[in-house]
This record gives sequence, C-alpha cells and structure tokens, in this order.
Amino acid sequence: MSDVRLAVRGLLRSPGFTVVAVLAIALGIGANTAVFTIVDSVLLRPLPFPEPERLYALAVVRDDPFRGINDTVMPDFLYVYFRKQDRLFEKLTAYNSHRINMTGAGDARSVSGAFATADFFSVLGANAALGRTFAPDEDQPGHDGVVVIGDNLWRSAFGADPAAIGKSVRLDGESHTIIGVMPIGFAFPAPLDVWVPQGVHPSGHNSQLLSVMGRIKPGVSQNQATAELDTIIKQIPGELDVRHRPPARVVSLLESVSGKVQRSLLVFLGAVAFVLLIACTNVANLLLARSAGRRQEIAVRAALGASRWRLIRHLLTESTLVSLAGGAAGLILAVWGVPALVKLAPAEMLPRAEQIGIDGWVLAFTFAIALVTGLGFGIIPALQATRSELRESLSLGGRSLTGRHERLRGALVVAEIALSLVLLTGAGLMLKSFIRLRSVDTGFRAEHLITMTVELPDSTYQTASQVQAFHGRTLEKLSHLPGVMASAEVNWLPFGSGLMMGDFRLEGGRKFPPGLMVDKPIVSPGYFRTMGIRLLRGRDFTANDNGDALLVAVVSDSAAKRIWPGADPIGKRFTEEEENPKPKDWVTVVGVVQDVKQMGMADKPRETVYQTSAQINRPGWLNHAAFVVRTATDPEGLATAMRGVVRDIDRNQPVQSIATMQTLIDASTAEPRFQTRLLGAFSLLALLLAAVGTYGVLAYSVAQRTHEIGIRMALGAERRDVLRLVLRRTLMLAGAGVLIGAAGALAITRVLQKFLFEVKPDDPATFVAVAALLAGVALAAGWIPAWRATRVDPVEALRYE
Amino acid sequence: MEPLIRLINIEKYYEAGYGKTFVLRRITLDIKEGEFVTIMGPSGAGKSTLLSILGMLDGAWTGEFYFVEQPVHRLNNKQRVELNKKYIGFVFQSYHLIDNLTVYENLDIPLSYRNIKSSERAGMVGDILDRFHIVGKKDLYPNQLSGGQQQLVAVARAVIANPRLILADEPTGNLHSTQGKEIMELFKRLNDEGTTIIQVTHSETNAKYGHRIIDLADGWLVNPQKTA
Ligand SMILES: Nc1ncnc2c1ncn2[C@@H]1O[C@H](COP(=O)(O)OP(=O)(O)O)[C@@H](O)[C@H]1O
Ligand SMILES: [Mg+2]
Repeated sequence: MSDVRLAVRGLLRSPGFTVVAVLAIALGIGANTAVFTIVDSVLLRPLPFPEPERLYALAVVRDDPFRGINDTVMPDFLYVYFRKQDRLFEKLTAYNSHRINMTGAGDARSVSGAFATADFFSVLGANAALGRTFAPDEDQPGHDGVVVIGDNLWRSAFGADPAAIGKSVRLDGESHTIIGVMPIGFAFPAPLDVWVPQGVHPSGHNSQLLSVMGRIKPGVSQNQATAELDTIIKQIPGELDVRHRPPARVVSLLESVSGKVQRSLLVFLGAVAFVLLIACTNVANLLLARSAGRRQEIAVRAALGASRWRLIRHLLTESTLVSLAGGAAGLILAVWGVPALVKLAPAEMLPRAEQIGIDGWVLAFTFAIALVTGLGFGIIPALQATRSELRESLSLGGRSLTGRHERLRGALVVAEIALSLVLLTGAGLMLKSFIRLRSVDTGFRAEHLITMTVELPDSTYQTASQVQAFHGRTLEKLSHLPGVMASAEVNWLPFGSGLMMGDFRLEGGRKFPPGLMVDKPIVSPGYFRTMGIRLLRGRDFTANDNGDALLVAVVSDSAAKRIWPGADPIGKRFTEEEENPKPKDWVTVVGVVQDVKQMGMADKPRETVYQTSAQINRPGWLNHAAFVVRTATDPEGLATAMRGVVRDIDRNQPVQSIATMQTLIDASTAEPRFQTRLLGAFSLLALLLAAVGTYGVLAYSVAQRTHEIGIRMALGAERRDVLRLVLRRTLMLAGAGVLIGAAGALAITRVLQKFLFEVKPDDPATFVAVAALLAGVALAAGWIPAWRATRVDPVEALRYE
Repeated sequence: MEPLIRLINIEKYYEAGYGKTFVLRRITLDIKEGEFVTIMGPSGAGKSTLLSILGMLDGAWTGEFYFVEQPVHRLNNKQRVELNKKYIGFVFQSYHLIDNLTVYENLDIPLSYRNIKSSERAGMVGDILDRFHIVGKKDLYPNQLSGGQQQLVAVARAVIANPRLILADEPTGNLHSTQGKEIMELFKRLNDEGTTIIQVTHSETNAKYGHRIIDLADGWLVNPQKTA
C-alpha cells in the first residue's frame, strides 16, 4: 500500500511526465478497446439462439472476396436435392433477403424482408414475442399468406399494438396475415421488418442462389457434414460437370454471419496492437529519462537498505498506475469511439452491429492489457534504473551510464520506427490497392447517370404486357423531364443488388461451355447508348425488336469469345427451351458490346447475354426494373421529378431506391475504403507516436550531450558538424528502424493478401515510398533537437560539469 | 615580426539586471609566437573568460583582437572556428574527454573536424599514442583511467592537430603534484619545440615553467610587465 501512495506522490510531483504518459497509453488502449469491443460483439459472442454451436451454414459457391457473391449460398436445385438426401441435419432451411413493397398499413412503403422456408425459425430455435412463427406447411402455395414481423416495424407501423396479430397487409401486392412479432434484438439474418414463408421450387435454366442453414444432429461434426454435402452434390444427376462444381463448405452459422468481416477485424486488431506497442515504447522511453533523473533518489533508497526487488516493485507500481490511468482514459475514448467506428463502417460490413457494446469481457480485456502494458513498459526502465545504481557504486568502468541509457533509448526508437513502418506499409498497400480498384474501367460512363429501381408486385402486374406498359409509360415520361439526354431500362443494374444467371442450348449440336453461367440482363432499346457501353459489332436493339419479330440478343465481348470461340457470333442462334424448340424459340445474336462490371470493380469480365424487354413474356423476369437516366447536368437534382413520374402512373407503387450511378459504385467500394481509412488512421497515429518518440529521444539526448557538444566545439566542430552529429544519429536510428520494419512488413503484410487488388503484398514501390516517408518524418523530428544543438554555447557547456 | 596575439582594449561584460557586470576591462597585451605565458589571479578574475576569447569559443566581446595578423574582431563565427581549427589546441582543468568514446576515439575528434583523410588520421593518432606512451590505453574509456592519465590524453588530443597555440585552463588543478609535474614537463617540451602556450594556474611552481606571468584581478590586468 505504501508503494502505491509513494508512487502516486511521485507521479503528482512530475505532472508533465504523467500527463504525456497517460495520454499515450490512453490512445493505445482506447484504440485496442474500441476494436476489441467490435471483435467481441461480432466474432466472439455466441449467436443468441439455443445450442448455437449446432447451427451451420452450407455453401456451394466459389469464395471470392472481390465479387458480390461471397456469402454462404448455394443454387436452389442443389438445396432441394441435398435436403432430400441428407441424414445428418435435424432441420434445414433456405432463405434470401429482399426489399418488399408493403401496403395496407399506412402509406405504401418499402420494407426489408426475408423469404424463408417454413423451418426457418425452428432451425434457429427462435420464438415470437407475440403470436407465433411459421407452421411446418406454411411455405406451401395456398398456405403461405402469413407473415412474421420485426419489433421495429411493429412499433413504427402498428404503434406496438398487440392487436396487430391477425391483421392483413399486402406484401408486393399479395395479402398476408400477421401471425407473429419477433422480440427486440432478433436480427437474423439482419434486423429485418418482415419474414415471409416461401418454398423452394427450382425451374429449368435459371437458378437462384439461396442462403442455406441447418441445425445439425447432436454429436455430428462439422467435417462429417462437409463430407456429406460434398458427396451428395457430386451425385446430383444432370449436365453440370463435377469438375466445375465449386467445393462444398459447411461453416458455423456464427462464422457465416461474421466470416466476411473476421479477417478485417483481425487485421484491425493487429494494427491497434502495434499502436499500443508503440505507445508503450514511448512511455518506456519517458520512464528511462525519468529514472535517469532519479538516480540520486534510487541510490539513496538503496543506501538505506532497499533491496533491488523492492526498488523494482516501487518503480513498477508507478508504471502500472500510469497504465491503469491510461486504461481508464482509454475506456472513455472507446466508449466514445465505438459508435463512431460503427457509423463509419459500411452497413453490410458489420453484422450484428446492433449488438455492439461494451460488456464485462471488454472491461476485463481493457483491465488486462492495461496491467500487462504497465508491467511491459515499466520493466525495462525499472531493471535499468536499479542495475545502473549497482554498477555505478561498483564502478566497473566501461561505457558510462548515460551511454548505456542512450543506446537503450535508441533501441526503443528503432523499435518504434520499425513498428510504425509495418503499419504504414500495410496502410500504403491498402491505399494503392484502393486507388487501383477505383480506377478500374467499369465499361460504362458513370458520370451524369441516375438510376431508379422499381419492383412491381406480380399480383397487380400479372402479365408481361402489363409490366411492359408500366415501363413504357415511365420511360416516356422520364424522357420528357428537363435535362434528360437519354433514358433506358434494365432488369438488374450493374452495381445493383442482384442479377439473373443461367445457361442456353446452342444451335447445331454445339456444346454450351460446361459449368458456365452467363448473366442474363433484359434491357430496353437505347440501354447501351444511355449507359455509354460501346457497341463493338452489329447493332443495338430497336423498337422493331418486339414480340412479333425474330428474337434477338446482344452479347458481351467475353460471352462471344467464350461461347463461340474463334467464330463470328453475329447470326449465331440459341434457345432457352429444353425440349423441341419451335422455330420462334430461337434467339439470334445481332450485336456485340463491351464487357461491363456487374457486381463490383474487381469483378472479372463477365459473359453476358442481353435480351430486350419487348420480347420477354415472363413477367417474373421483368418486374424488377431499374431505370437509368443520363442527364446534361448534376443528376442528383432529378430525383424528385423521377419519383413524381412513378407516382403519376401508379399511386400505390413505391420507388425502391433512387441513386446516382456514382453512389452505387462508391457503395461497392465502401468496404475497402473503410479498411483503408481505418488502417490509415491507425498508422498515422503510429507515425505521430513514433515522431514524438524520436523527437523526445533526440531532444533528451541533445540535452544530455550538451557538454559533449561543447567539447567538440572547442575542438573545432562547426555548426554544421554538430547538426550532422545529431542528424546522423537520427538517420542511423531511422535507418535501422526502417530496415527492421521492412523485414517485419515483408513477413506481416502477407495477411493483407486477400484485401489487395492488383497489388502484391511486397510491392517495392510502396515499401520504398513508406520507408522514405518514415525516414523523412524521423529527420524532421530530429531537426529541432539538431538545430538546438548547434545553438549550444561552448563556454556555457564547458563551465559546468 | 608581428606578435602571434595582440589584444587592444578587450572588454567583456554580462547584462546584469540593470547595468553591466564587467568580466574583462581594457585588456591590452601582446603574446609572441613561442612564448609560454602564465595567467594568474583569484577565482572569478576572468582568466577562463580570457582563454575562451583567445580560443575563439567566446565571440561576445568588444575591442581589437589580432591573431596571426588576422583581425578577429572583424571575423564572423565561421571564420573564427576556422582559426581555432587551424591554430589552437585546448586543455581543461576537468579534462573534458568524451565519456562514451575510447581514448583512441577521443584523440580522433579534432582530426575529424579538420578535413584530413581517414588513412592519415589513423597514422596521426598512432603517432600521438606513441609520443605520449599511451598505446596500451587506446581502447579504454576515460572512466577507466586515472586523472593524470586522462589529462595526458587531453593534452595529446590538444596537440594532435599540430596547433601553434595551446590554451590550458588550470590543467593540473585536479591532479596530484607528481601527475601535475608530468603534465608541466610535457608543456615545457612542447614549448621548446616551438608551440606557444598560455596556461592558467594557481600554482607558483607551475608558473615557473613559463616565461612571464599575467596577473588578472576583477577583470583588470594588474602588471603586464612581470616576468616569471
Ligand atoms: N553567464 C554569466 N553571467 C554572468 N556572469 C558570468 C557568467 N559567466 C561567468 N560570469 C562571471 O564572470 C567572471 C569571470 O569568470 P571566469 O572567467 O570563469 O573566472 P576565472 O576563470 O578567473 O575564475 C566571474 O565573476 C563569473 O561569475
Ligand atoms: Mg576559471
């Protein structure tokens, strides 16, 4: 206890040191606590369901972080086949999320919802707070007119009235009876408004990707389940060549929810650990300087009979107090910083964001690192201070005390510079990758484009011609808005939320490339011109390409090369009819256009086969539509007028979203931008700490060496010699730090590989630039002490010894 | 022949609250090349200050100061440092060796500031180690040497670049008499070889090694003519 009191008194006696040290540690611990809070809530806390360890997600798609499709999903027909064969899962369910138009409860509104099979809630083991969840047969046609709503919607649309149960709402035009309200905090797969039962009925050439999860039987392992899934999907009869089937994956549901963000979070955690290490190094340096100033006090204590252990304990008590104070301040920083971080993060990036908060684990974590930190940065100075006392009294000779201190402090600066180099290199690589990503050619001109998505309910718009009529009127009205240069329609927009994929049957026994799934957008004439997609060969769709005319298609460059390699695609024919196509079922290729990015900037060139809306007679392929408008001026200004167009045509029809094309593209790179920014911010913090540390050590060293500098001046050193003396030391420290840091970065930046787009983790340009930056900053930090050294008055310096 | 050093009305003062505190008053004196001069006087008389001025370490004074026929009072700091480098070696009472450097490295310092090739520098350090019989100590640090040995190294360091003038501020002040004698013999020998020496000392015995004594009191020259 007396140790603590003594330590507190000691710290209060040097408030400058205490404030700077506590602040540095607070920054380090604050950053760690903030990131750990997110890691804890997102990665570590189990899902809030009974026996969550038995919940697994099943996937049969390639895992590609830069494509939109990197979720745990599988094609609908695989799900149906697997569900029939499976023996290891108690229950399985498939679901996917959509925006849904809701009417019948106040104004028409677009709500977030999931379509799920009847077992959805029973797989999770989740119960309704009010009413009930789906009954086993409620995903069957005729029984599926029910809906479970979320707590949020219940409050906002029904005033939290229990009588909401039994009420009817229209979802995409269909009537659904509310059977249950989920409790607050139920957020699977996200905090949605509605859950609608829907069975899975795969059809022909066009498959849908579904999220699939299941509750495994007790005692069955993840490996067994993976093996089963793998075996079963390989048995599935049909065209799909086994070699082209992506591998089967069974991952814990928690991982499937947080898997995407896991690596990012771990990288952030690593980054803040570096920041903390640098902060510790800084404080260790401050403590060394302080203990040098306290040699007298320590010597006296030792003379009075204090053992070395006792002295060390005294010094460690002090450093631990500093780190605990820093930890407390850091916790405050984290409380304030976590919401800011969550807000900065793109919405899809942080699953379970609503559950992020500081809990007992976070407090324990903060306390633990504060404790470890205090011992960590305190132990070296404490050993040093007490050892030097011993050696001094024994007068062993050799390099003097200040010399050894100086080298130790130098080593700490080298460590700081090396650590921040690693962080900066990581941030530099991310930045370069991000710039590369942003400068990718999308294949169309995004500037001056605004998009509006409208999803027509198939209950109101039952036939293709009804849908086409709506689209035609909308396009007509849009084209008359002021400032509109061109407008067109596409069912699934590039950088939009989804698309249709599938295969074909080719004419003349030619084989469609096995395993290939082409994108199948449906567009209006003028789409290519509006988007600025270049027509490479042949012609665009025209108004004459209608239902009565020959069916035509325009294919993308890569589709042409992949499907008809070495041949002229113009005039080639294909059909979507499996059996006995009639002559009018054949589609003729009339044009080739440039490839566009569909799912993201890092997307590979996609094989795309465009057809035109007037020739499509399935309303389900048309009722999701995006209108693209090219404007002469700022496209943002057109939004209100565009909404007005839809309202004029159909009062009950909400607009799903209006966004400029640039906004959609920005959103698609929101995640790498966030990663880059965050890593950048941490590394700048590190750089700042390293600069302060370098400055501190050199300033202290110059102060310590005033006498030496005076001697050197008396022996003929000019100002520039003195300047060089200090700067050379700076450069040596920086050089050693940069070398060690570069070696470290080479080893560590490999963890970024998955995040890097067209940049290698050992990119030499980045390494050189970062090394130069760091050396420059170190030199700048050394410049002030160096300049001060040249101002030493030799007469003064030599007078006092 | 012009004297090596000519001081005319040199004055030095510090601002002291209101007014000035003079440390040197109207110092006018000549010192010829080859002389061995002793400066004496009570503590605080201004002896060290005068040496600092002569050694170009102190530039804040008034009056005229000619050194090797150069008007120092008209030179800038850089030119004065040049004169120091070219002609002057310093020895201090408290040796002023650099703690973290070995004997060898300490001896090398003056050479490192004098545009001498490193190969030549090694030779020169070797020579001086020989001349002062301290070859065996070259890798030791100052705190591993006795006071006398340290001062020996300091003198070696002062003469290594072949200065024409050695300024020694109480060089034996911290030494036993035998050690002090050794250092004084050394100065004598250097002076015999032609080096001009100006020493500050409180010891009459040491003063006897020199040709004449300059007495300072309260910044004033007391008896410019007195000889040893
Ligand atoms: N920075 C200063 N400010 C004011 N007075 C000073 C300063 N430095 C030295 N002095 C004074 O100058 C006088 C001469 O000092 P010094 O030349 O060291 O004397 P000596 O070497 O003869 O003992 C002393 O009275 C000293 O107090
Ligand atoms: Mg003196």
